[in-house]
Amino acid sequence: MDKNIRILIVDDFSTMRRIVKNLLADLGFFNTAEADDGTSALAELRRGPFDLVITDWNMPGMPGIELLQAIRQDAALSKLPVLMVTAEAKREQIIAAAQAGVNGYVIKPFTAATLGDKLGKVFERLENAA
Amino acid sequence: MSRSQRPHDLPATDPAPATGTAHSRGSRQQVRRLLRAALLSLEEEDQGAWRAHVDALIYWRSQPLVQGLARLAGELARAFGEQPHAGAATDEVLQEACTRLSHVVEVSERASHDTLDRIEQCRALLSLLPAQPGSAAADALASLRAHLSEMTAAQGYQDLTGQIILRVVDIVRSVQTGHEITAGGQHLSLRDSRGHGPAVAGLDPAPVSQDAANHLLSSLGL
Repeated sequence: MDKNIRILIVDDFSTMRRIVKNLLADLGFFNTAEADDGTSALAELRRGPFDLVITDWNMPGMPGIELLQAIRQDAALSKLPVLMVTAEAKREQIIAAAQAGVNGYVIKPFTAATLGDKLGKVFERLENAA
Repeated sequence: MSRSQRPHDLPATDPAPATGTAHSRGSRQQVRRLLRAALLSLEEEDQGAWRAHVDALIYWRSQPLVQGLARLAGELARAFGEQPHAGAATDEVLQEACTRLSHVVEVSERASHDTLDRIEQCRALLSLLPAQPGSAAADALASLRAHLSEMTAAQGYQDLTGQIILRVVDIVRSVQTGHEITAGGQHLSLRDSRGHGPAVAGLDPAPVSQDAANHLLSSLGL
């Protein structure tokens, strides 16, 4: 796995952005940027380039599911892997995220091991698909 | 008309129905006195005194009617299941509740960042400790780093509790502004794609576990 990939962390809580950033650093990923909702994330992505988006669902402004849909509808961003890290844990929400094209789904609260495992699986699938 | 504006000849106590008690007898005597004084003012063509005595009589007579109407309105509102209007005092209390809850989110956020600062400092200190690869000390250091990572992840409680508190703030503000609330206490805007926040036992359906989510996603080809 290339540790130099650029990752955008999207969450309205500064604590959670910092947690994800630190856990990524523990895994060797230091090239990160942050956004606090879907709208600012899209602007950041269009300034790009990024290799991965890790986003919350429940945010003021544009929520994570709409960010995911916007990414998939944007020709320049549509192939970008998206990992949802969220407390939204209803079966229908997970199905909706899958139908919108999510690459992985981590339910809060999560452990560092779970985040590492899910990141590994996202990249493994992408490498296999390449 | 407020009590401070009460006509000067008005009985000092609130009027009571004519029940034959000493109180009501006193009130009737006061009315007779007001009527005689009003008649005398009229005969003497004293318009100011006449108006004051008649105003006092009207005020006295209207009080039971006004009180009765207020009581009737309250009973009708209860019968139709209406809630009493949230007055200025209630608005103030609700605003205070929102401010206090937002303060809790800010305090927990600061505490969580402080903890993350300490974890980062511990990690920096660990990097200064010498350890031969494969030694017991190296294993202990690796284990300590893993614990620090889990301590970092555990700070996610602030995000989860914060989401729930901000949802409560949203519900309280909806009550304050009179926006529509469903029977379950859920604001309509929260039912859309914005998300609902963490599930609360006893209020929300049990959340899907990470394992169940993994199986569900596998079944969908992920």
